[in-house]
Amino acid sequence: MIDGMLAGLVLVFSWPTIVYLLLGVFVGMWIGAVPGLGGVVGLVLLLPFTYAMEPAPAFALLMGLYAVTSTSDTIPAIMLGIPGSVASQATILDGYPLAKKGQAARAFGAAYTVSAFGGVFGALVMAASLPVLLPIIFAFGLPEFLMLAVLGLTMVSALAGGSVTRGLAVAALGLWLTTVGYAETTVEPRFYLGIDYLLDGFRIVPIALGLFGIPELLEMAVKNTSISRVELSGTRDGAMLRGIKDVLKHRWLTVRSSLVGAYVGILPGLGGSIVDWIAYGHAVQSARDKSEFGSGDIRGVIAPEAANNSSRAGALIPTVAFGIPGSPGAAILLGALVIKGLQPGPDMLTFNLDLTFSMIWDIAFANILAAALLMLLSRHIVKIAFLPAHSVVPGVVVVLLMGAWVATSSMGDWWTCLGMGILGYAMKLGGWPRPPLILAFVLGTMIENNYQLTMQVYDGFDWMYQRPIVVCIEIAIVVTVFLAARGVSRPKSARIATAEDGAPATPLMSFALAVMLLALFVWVYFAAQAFEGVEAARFPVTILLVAIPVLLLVLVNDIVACSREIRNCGGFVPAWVSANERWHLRISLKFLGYLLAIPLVTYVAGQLVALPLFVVIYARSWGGFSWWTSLAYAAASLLLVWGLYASIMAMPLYPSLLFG
Amino acid sequence: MSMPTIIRSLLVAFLVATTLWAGCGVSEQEDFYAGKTIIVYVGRPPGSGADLAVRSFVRYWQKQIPGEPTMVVKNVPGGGGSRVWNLGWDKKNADGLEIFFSPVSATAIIIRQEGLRADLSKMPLVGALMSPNMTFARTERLKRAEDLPNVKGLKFGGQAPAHRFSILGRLTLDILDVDYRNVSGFQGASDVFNALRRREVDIQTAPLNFYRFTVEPSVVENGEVIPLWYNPVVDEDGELVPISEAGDIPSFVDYYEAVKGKAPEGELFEMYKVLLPHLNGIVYAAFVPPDSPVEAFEILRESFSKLTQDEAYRAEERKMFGFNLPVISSRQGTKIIDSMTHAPEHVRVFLEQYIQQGR
Repeated sequence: MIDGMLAGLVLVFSWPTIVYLLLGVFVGMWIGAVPGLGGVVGLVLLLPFTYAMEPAPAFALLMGLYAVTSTSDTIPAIMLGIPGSVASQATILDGYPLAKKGQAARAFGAAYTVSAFGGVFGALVMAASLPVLLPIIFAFGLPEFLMLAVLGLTMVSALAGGSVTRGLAVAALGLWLTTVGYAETTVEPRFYLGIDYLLDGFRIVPIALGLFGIPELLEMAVKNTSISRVELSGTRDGAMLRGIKDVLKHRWLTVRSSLVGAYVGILPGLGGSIVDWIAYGHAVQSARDKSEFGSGDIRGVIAPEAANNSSRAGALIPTVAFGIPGSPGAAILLGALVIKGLQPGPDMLTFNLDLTFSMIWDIAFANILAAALLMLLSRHIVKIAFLPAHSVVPGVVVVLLMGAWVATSSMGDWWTCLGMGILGYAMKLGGWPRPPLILAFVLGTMIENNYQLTMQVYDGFDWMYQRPIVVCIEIAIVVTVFLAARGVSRPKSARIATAEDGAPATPLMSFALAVMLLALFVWVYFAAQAFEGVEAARFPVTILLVAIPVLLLVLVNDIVACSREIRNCGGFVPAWVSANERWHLRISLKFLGYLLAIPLVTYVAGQLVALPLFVVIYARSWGGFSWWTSLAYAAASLLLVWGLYASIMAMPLYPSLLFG
Repeated sequence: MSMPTIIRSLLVAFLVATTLWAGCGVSEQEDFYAGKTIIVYVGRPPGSGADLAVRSFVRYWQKQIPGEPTMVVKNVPGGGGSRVWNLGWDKKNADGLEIFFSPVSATAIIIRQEGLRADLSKMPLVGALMSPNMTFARTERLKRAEDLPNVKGLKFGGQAPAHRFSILGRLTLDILDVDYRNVSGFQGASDVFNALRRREVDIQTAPLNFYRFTVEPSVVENGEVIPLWYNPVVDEDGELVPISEAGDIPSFVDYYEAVKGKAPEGELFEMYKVLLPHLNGIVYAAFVPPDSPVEAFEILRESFSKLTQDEAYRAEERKMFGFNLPVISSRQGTKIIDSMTHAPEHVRVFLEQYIQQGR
């Protein structure tokens, strides 16, 4: 074993392996920081270059990239409140509020430190756990996966701001969204309204970018506030160092979260999507003082960031040692092994042990290297948080829309993103939590599939009390719900129905949302009755069993709040006018109009015209920039779309009416 | 000038002219794609098995095309895999610079799945690849392969009910009259295999390369799993023919004869023979849009088939799949696609009902 470790170390530092590791880290840092891209896209881009390479440098290149995309995806999560990838969803809950307080550097310091620690720790823990990993992996069957997914969903509904009832209603919406289109277990497409795009259902990237990104951009554009509400001069020097000290202060939380990441990461298909939420939930539940969670608690950054990097190692080891990929990225690495003529399995732990250890070392060094480089870079990146909004918004809109385009390169991606943006904005006004929708969407297909498969394999519900791990998870679910209902585990700030930036929520908007959701779910019920197969209707109807009672509770609550608001304002019209003024509804709708015009212009003239045109018009009319500055900004955006997305990423652009 | 001299002169002139003409042909072929970029659309997401297989193929294919054009792979997933075909079908003013290379779903074509507008029988087929598949089982309740028909209550693990492995697996088990329960809805061959290793299902049908690289080294060598049979291919005369890539694994027909002592027969077996060329004949197919230039199509078709002689590609294919994927010629593939598109009504009805039963 020791010989293998040392031989692996020698392989990593041999020429040209170390150069490829550095290259992989650089590419990974860049790809992870662009919303919508991520580890899988990066691996696909680099894979062809490895065909003619020796195994050690080839894996150094791939592992360097794979290991660090979950480190650099922290940048959009903290700076813009946009999850750079699935792995950084929980980070935005406290990371973005920290940026708003002018503490982005502190958040980065903590995030990068724990990312490096988590990556190294996860790799070492996995290496040490090899002999017992296989029984652990196979102890988790279909029922365990089902219940773990339900636990993840319960945690996020209970923890992620707003009220529990609204959290559950939003989670129900997320689950329903996953039922659109074909499912693995059914042969008829559901709720797709005759739209081809929806036959495969909605995609996570446009939903996440729209739901989180557009409301923040809208607020920045409308108020022309910088991301940070605090002046640059008002922030302290050495903030990055403060983040590192935070990690030392919360070192045991870091260790525990890294352990959670490594071991949840090994679970095929599930690990990467819930690991940050489970770690976040653990951070909240284990904290004595929960009052700052959700409004900028550094522990809310430390826990998910340690866990998501650690999970990368967790997903790798079963891939290499047992041929069981723990994530889509790990599945590509498995393909790379096969292309190199290597067989995952016992050979990788005997004849090729040095190569296996070189991959573990690759992860460890890549994480340390990326953390150090990003700390240097972030000293400059944090300055973006203090720039005026109008100079940031157009560029971010371009990146956000092209990020959504990555999903399937069709207009459906943009309409989904913009639709989710409008929904996200309404949720923000109404004080509805957004994170449960994303996690429910990530887990929905898994919950439905595992539920249907569990019922087919185990023929009934005996598994609910006959399997010890299932029983343990059920207890954890009950405890989470109980504590949330009593308000023990919930962050203090989240117990007040507020919009997420602390301003009071608008009950009128909350009421309108509840009514719309109720109408949607009633339609779902009737539409499901028309399905040919019972299986096709089972899951959507089961969702309604929770969603409709919960929504009725929300409605009652909102009716009371609305009456109070109307009474306080002296009538419905004054209440509406007050809400309108508070939320700048007119100007917000104008900005949304600008956004909606982008796909319409794209239909006619394509993205290479529509996006730069938006940049020019916005920079001139909203930002008040000179023509030259606006045109230069537009040229830069054109170069970005054409150079990065159309050429390097080889993404098909929209075939417009004018230019084909 | 004497007659032999005239004849000799004419012969030389003919040879020179022929050489020049042939040279012109090569140069014209080279001219067509020289310095150009061909976009290859794949109807699956980046990183999927189909995406990686196509990207690997394309790297070698471009070297076979005269003029060595640049080939760029673009992913257009969606519509249950139909979007990529619709995109090719809707293409106007095709210039030979776009190829649509993706997995073909025979069931989608035969049952006329919602969303599939393209008529693949009217799109020129450049070439296609076949990927053999096979069935294997856990040995916990099945000590020897021939015990299968006598064991009760086995569970067959399958992907979506309309997936070709689900249909082929169930059909073969039904022909053998095995007592089994169908468990469908797994998201991929790896998912089914994990369930098999967790003892949640007992039997699986999967690609042969998956068996070679994942199943064999991890659970066959230690006796946890045994191979049962592979599904043969059907030749142009409709006869079932063995495939050498399967090694010593028997074909389904051989397996049936070994355990039942007679050749398979009956309505289900006839349907198996009808469906086999559709479900098993083509896995990855490359089409160009309907009105693509004939010259471009011919160049692509020739270069596609030439790739089967490219030793470098064949070596890489063996690394990726464990064997060389059988290549289906444009002519044979067109025939198969045509028979899928115009499948008899009773076949379509049978398939629809069989898929419904598998839910």
